[in-house]
Amino acid sequence: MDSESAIRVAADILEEQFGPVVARVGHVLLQRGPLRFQEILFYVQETQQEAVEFPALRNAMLVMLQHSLVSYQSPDESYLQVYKAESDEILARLRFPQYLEYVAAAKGEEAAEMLLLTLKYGRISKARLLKEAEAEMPPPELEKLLQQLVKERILRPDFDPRAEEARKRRRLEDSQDSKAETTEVVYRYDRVNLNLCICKNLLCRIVEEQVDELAAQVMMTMLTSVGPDSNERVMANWVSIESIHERHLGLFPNSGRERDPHRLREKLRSKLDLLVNKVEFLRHRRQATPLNEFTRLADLAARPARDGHEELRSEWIVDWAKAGDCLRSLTMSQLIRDRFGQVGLRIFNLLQEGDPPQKLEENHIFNICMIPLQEGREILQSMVKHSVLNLQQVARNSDGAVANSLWLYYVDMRRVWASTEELVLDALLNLRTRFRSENARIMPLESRAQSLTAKERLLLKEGRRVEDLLERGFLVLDSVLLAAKWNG
Amino acid sequence: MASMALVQVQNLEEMYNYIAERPQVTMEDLERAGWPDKTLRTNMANQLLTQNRLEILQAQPLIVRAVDKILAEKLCRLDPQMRQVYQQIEKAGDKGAWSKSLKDQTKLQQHTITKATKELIKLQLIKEVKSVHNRNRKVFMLYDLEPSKEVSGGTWYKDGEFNSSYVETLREHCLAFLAQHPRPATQADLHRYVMQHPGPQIPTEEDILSIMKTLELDEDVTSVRTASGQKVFVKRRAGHFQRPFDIFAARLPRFLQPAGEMEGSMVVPCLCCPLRNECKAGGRVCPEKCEYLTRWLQREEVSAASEDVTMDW
Repeated sequence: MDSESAIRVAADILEEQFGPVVARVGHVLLQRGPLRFQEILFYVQETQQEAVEFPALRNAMLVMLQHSLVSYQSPDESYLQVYKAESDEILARLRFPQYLEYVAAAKGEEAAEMLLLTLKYGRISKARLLKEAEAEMPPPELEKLLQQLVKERILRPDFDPRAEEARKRRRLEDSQDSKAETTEVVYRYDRVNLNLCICKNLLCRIVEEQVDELAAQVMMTMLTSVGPDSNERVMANWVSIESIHERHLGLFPNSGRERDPHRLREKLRSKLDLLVNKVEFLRHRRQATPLNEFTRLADLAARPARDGHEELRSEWIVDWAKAGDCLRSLTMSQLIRDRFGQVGLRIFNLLQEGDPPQKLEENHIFNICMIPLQEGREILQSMVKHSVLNLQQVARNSDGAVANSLWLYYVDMRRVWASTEELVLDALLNLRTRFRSENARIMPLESRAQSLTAKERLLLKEGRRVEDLLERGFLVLDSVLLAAKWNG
Repeated sequence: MASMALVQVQNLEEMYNYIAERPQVTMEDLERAGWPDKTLRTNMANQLLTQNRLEILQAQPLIVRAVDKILAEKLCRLDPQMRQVYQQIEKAGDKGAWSKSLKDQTKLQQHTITKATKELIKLQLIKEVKSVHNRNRKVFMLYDLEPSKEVSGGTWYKDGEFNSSYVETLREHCLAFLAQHPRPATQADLHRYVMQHPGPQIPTEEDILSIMKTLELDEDVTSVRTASGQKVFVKRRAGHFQRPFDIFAARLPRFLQPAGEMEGSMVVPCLCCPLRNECKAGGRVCPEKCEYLTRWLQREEVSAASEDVTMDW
């Protein structure tokens, strides 16, 4: 069940992108859970001031299905279908600019254009995708690019639901003809993998800031061994130095130019060793691997005196769960620092120390954190008020008098993340509301941008800057949601 | 008669000087030092005690100590009640005596205690010290005593108040040392460096450890234990934006981003807004007209993080 704030943000996104009827349907489905079509109609009509007719609702549902914002299933093998809103899919629409930015930076502008078309249509057939992207590239190259995007899981093939429906209907009418018809493949974006890519970028940024740029590139290479499986669970594999070398050259072709491959491999190895020491989410092992026949013979030829048929191979793996912990902890630290200052962060970190984390009295906290009593109390109370810290009363006497009790402060991370998510979603909604009001203010200027006075031009420029800032605000806040919902 | 008195006074002064030269004296010491007559010796000691020039450290066997001349003169001026209060304060030592405890111990009335303590303070025999643990409570102790750590709060307190500026100075010194020396530093290294910069107090190595703990909690410094079990400190690498890690500063790593496109730190004001619960689109407090948002949006440069909208929670 989604929180009230998440539902409000989701409805706001739907209203802005698809209009009020879709927003209303989304709101009803998110609030009430899976519903049948008649129930959706009933609840939408119950709450909507203007009557919503059946065709309008049907169209809204079709749009939502097209964009995978709702899913359907038949719970009891009947033809009555139950529709369910996909809140993750709706909230991921905030991330579309980030997906496009990443794909443009990593795969090129043409790939970003293809992704843009897919995002625009929700699902798009191959023929249409190639036709619309024709302006960017010649068709053979486009097809190759499409295959590459599918291989790298930026796009994923999906069956056209209308073709599927038609197929079912025809099967009912004439089961003999069903073998003859073919279903057309459509493409949609791969949300799970694109989210994963954004998380990988964040991890590379951590490495870049805490170690250096080359180490970040090596980490990016290592992260190619992390990907979602068929159940959308993230899996990581052990990789050898040979494989890392190969992947690194694939990602950063310039690094291999005019260089001795052996030297590059040694450089990669030393960076990997450095990373194993510096970051918690990279692990190293020396694995005894039996040599295959070819390697064994080659080895024997090179060193005939060598005994034994095994050698120790270095392998590395990204510990995805630890990576999530690291990113979450850094995100939370930053949020606490921004909200409660350096002293707030000091208190928060102190209360998280130890296993299990300790519950401490205020004097103890102030002594260790070296904070004056007055300032410390203000911050502690503020942190309690914002659900970052919790209080526990320990009565000194059996009467349990409040005045004669010890008050212990502690951190409950589950509650902290829940309250932070609410806070971030509320902030997101506020920025979106403000964005619309700023947008309405400069829209008249935007519409006649070619015939503005000097003063108006300045106003328009300022308006655009404000819009950019607000848009960046959405993305910034979205990073917190992404870290909070890290798929370990 | 007059010559006898003169001889007595001289003897008295001699005895006082003899005792004053030593930290403590027993009756046997006086006997050996030239006052063999027990009666005379006892009379003289009694006379010095009456003049407040001697104090008894131990009754059995008797051990005495000389009182400073100036102090003795001051003590002579005290009436019995003031003397009683003074003795109680003296007994409390460096922990000090609270006026209520003085009242209970001396069985005097509160106003008498107040009057006596005021007079003693005026004579510079006692002083008033603010207790760190009970901020509304003042304790009295002898003028020349240094308050105990429990009363004064130790190194980090000055006049009963937390000395924030001193703590900050020490933190800066430690950070400066770690910045100059990229190799791991021990607490002894840090202590040596800090001692080269004189301050209002002299910090011990334990004090430096406490300071380093705050820096660790601030995520400015990391500590590791060496193979020998010694704790060493390293400064964390400041990122591109001079912060430990700023998730909001950029979305892509630099190698994926065109040159000069890093964006800088960003703190969305709604995250620390005091009016968050009252804020609603179209309401009295609303994002459309929010003053905090307006001020945030009017910033010239996004990277000017120091110009953040200041909020009071």
